[in-house]
Amino acid sequence: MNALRRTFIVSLALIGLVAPGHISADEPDDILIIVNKSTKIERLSEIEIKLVFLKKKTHLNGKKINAFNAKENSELRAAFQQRVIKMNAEEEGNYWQDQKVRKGLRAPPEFGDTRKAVFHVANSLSYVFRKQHVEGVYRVVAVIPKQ
Amino acid sequence: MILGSMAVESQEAQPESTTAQDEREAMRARIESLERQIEKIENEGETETSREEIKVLAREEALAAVEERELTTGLEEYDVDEVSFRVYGFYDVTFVKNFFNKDHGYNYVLSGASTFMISNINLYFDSQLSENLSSLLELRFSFLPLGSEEHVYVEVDGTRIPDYEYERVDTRVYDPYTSENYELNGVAVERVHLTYSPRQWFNVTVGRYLTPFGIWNVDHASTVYVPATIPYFHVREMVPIAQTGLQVFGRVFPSERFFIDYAVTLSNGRGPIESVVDLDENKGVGLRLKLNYEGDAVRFSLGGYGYYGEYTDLHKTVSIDTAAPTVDTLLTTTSNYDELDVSGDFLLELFGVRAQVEYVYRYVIQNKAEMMGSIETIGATNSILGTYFIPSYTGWGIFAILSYELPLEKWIYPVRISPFVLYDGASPEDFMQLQDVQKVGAGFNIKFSRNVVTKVAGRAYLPDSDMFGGKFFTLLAQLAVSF
Repeated sequence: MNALRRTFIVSLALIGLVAPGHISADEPDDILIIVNKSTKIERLSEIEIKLVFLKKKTHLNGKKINAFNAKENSELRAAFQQRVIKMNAEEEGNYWQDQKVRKGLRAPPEFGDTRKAVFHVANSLSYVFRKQHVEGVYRVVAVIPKQ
Repeated sequence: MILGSMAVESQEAQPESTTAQDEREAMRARIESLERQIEKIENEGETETSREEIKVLAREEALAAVEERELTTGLEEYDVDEVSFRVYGFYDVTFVKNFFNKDHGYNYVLSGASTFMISNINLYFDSQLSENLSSLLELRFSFLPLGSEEHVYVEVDGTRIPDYEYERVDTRVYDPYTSENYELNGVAVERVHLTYSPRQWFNVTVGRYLTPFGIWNVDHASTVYVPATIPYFHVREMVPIAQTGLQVFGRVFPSERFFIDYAVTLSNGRGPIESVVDLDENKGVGLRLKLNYEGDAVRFSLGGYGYYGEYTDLHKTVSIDTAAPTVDTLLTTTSNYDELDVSGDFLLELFGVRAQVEYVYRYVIQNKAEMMGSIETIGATNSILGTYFIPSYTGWGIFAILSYELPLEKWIYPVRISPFVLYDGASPEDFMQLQDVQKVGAGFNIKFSRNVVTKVAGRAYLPDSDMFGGKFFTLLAQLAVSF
C-alpha cells in the first residue's frame, strides 16, 4: 500500500474519531472523578470528594492529595460546584475567602485541562466530563451523573 | 474532536515525573509496534482481511498518536513543592452610638458621642514553604495607643483623690524637617507560627497561635463572624486568646461524614508578659476535642476545650553585697494563681439557619494574697474603706446567636441578607458583680460580595448592677472588608 493510501486510512480513522477509548453509553456530561495512576485509590464517595475539595480532608490512604479544580466560570467547574460541592460560584468564593482569614487556607489550584494536571502530578485528584475522557491517562474513581 | 483548542498554561518547563516519562516511552513503543504490523500487512499483499486489519491498526495508531500528543503538548507544570507567598487581610469601619447620659458610669470605658472607629486592620503574610510546611504571620494594626486613657481623676464623695491624675496617651509627633505633625500608631502580633503537616491526623504548630477554643476565636475575623462585636467573655479573656508555645492537632474520620478534631496545647500560659517571656516554670496545657458532621444540607459541630495553667507576676530586686562581693537578684512574687478554664461550643447550620452557642467557665485559685485595687474594692464591697484581698473565684460567660440567610438569591444574587438575634452574658468574677453584663441584640448582615459585608445592629446592655448608671442602648453599623 502506498503512503498516500495509508495517510488516507489514518485520516479516516481520525475523522471518525469522536472520543477515543472505551466510551460507555452513559451521558457525555457525566463528571468523572480522576486520579493520577500512582494514587492508591480505587473508589471515592461523593462526600469524600466534597471534603477533599473543601480541604476538610487533606489525605487519602495516608497520602496528601493534590486536588485540582477546573477554571473558574468554566462549564465543568460550574457542574462540579453544583453536583459535588453543593454550592454556586459565589458561595464557594465566600467559603474560600472565609477559610483564608480563618486558617490561611487556599482553594485548590485551577487548570484549563484537568486531565493533563492529573497525568503529570502524583497523588492528584480532579474531574473531567465524560465526553472529554481519555482512556489510559489516569484512573476513574467515581462517576457523578448529570442530575 | 477531543483535543480541540484546549487552554494551555504557559509555564516554565520542569523535569518530568517518572510516571509521565514512562507513559510516553510506552506510547512510542506501541506506535512503533503498530507501524511494523501495518508494514508487514502491506508487504504481504492486500486482501479483504488485510484491509480490515489495516483499518483497525490504523485506528489504533491514530489513537496512540492522539494520546501521545495529548500528553506531551502544552504541558502544564505544577510543582507541589513550589514556595508560594501571599499577603491578604481584612479591616472594618464601625459607626457606634451609645445612648446614655454624659454622666453615665460607662463613659469610663465607652464613648457617649457617636463615633466612627477602625479597630481591626489585619494583615496576613502566608507562605507555603513546601508540601508539608507552612508559615503564617498575622499583624494587627491599630490607631492605639493614641487616646488610651491610662488614668482618670477619681473623686469620692466630692473629694478628689490626689494620687489619681487624668492621663491620656498622645502619640502625635512633630517632624523637625517638614514641620508636620502626625500620629504614631501601633502594631500587635496576633499570631506567628510554623506548621508542619505530614498527616491530617498529626500536625505541629510552633510559635504564637490562637487558642483553639470555641467558634469566635477560630473565626477570628470581622468579615467572618456574624455580629459587629465580639462576645463579652472574649473581651474579658476568660480563656487565653492566644498562646506562645506549641500545638499538636489533627483530624480523624471515624466515618465519611463524621470527623473529630483534636488539639493539645503547651505554652507559656497566661502571664503579664507571656508573649515575651514566661515568669514561672509552670506551662499552660490545654486539650481540644470537637465532633463535626458534614451533610449536604445540615452541618453541625460540638466541641470543648480545657485549659490549666499558672499565672505569675513578680518584680526584681538587685541586691549587692559589697563585702562578699556578690550580686543577687531577688524575685518577689506579686501575684500568683492557678486557673482551670473550660469551654463548650455548638454550631448548627441547616437550610440557611445558623445557630451558635458558646459557654465558658473559669475557676481561679489564688495562691498569693493580692490586694484589691480601688475599683475592685468598690465593686466587691461597695466601699473603698479597708483592705481586701482577691479571693479565689469562678466566672462564666455565654454567647448565643441565631441567624438566617433569607432565600432571596433569585432576586438579589449575589447579595445575601441574614437577620440575626443574639444573647451575650458573662459574670467574669463572681466576687465582683459590678462587672456582670448581659446584652441582647438584633440586626442583619448584608453580604454584597465575597469581600464586603455590612452589619447593622441594635443592642441593649443590661448590667446586673446599677452602680454605673444602669442599662443603655447601642446602635452599631459596620463595614467589613477582606482582600
